[in-house]
Amino acid sequence: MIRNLSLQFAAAVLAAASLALPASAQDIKFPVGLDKLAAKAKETVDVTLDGQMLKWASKFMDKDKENDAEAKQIIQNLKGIYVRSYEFEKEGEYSPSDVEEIRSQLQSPTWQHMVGVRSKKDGDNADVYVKMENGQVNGLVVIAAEPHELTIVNLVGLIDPDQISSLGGEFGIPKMTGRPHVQKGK
Amino acid sequence: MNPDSFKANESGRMSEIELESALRHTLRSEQPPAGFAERILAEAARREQGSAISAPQRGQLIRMPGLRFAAAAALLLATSLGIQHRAQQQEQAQGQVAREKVLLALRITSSKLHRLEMRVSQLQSDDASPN
Repeated sequence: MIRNLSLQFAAAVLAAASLALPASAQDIKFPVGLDKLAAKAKETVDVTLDGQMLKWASKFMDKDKENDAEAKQIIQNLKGIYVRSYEFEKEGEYSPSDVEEIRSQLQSPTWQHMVGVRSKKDGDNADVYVKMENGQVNGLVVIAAEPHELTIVNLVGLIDPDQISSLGGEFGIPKMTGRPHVQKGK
Repeated sequence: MNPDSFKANESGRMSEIELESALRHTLRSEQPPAGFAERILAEAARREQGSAISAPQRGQLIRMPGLRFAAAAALLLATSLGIQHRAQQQEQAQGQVAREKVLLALRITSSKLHRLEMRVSQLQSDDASPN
């Protein structure tokens, strides 16, 4: 009887540990409500890549391709990339409480609110949080809440601040330098 | 009777005789040279001995443990190479999927940061304008 109980306890501990493992790699927990949004969304992006998968992916990056080379450099010190993005047909499909639940996790002193934009005109809300540890950026969270789209990005691990700024100008997205972008050769 | 047709008939008959005679000469029964049968039998025996492997020998070869082991090893090697190739193909596919996911995630991050940057610069320019 006692042996059975101890076995059950060990199994419960192991189960709890296995559940806790993925969460420990991720800086923030995505609210359960987000998973339900997938059913309502027109398009859903769900990317979950831990450190091992990132190392694996970097082996398949083509150094001759510009985006691959840049991506390889960015992910070399990352421990995880977690993205949830939902695009909806109409407004009001997601609850502001889902977003608030994420924001509330970023209230600890290690997280710094880097930039936030609220637009009453078109309803765009966006925030960038960075996790500062020993004077280094050790995590990044982007929350972009638009009327038809909700996107949450969590990059876990060491991030070069220059890479954060350069991300805005990479992967086919033109870089902004505070003035209107002018296409070369035209 | 026409004398020409007579000649033709005559000449035709002559040809038939000649042909018959030639056939008879060609198809005549002729005795083989002395020792012909012995030479044929000796040649057959020589070829039988010189052939690669006789049926009993083949049976012996199949029963040889070394050969059986080699065949099994070759089969095992081919199978393991096939499995290895398949695993490599799967790894390659998984790696490509992971790579695509990384690029997608960074593209989304990039686009959101770019949009945010645009908003901030727009707000800054609005604040800087005299109106």
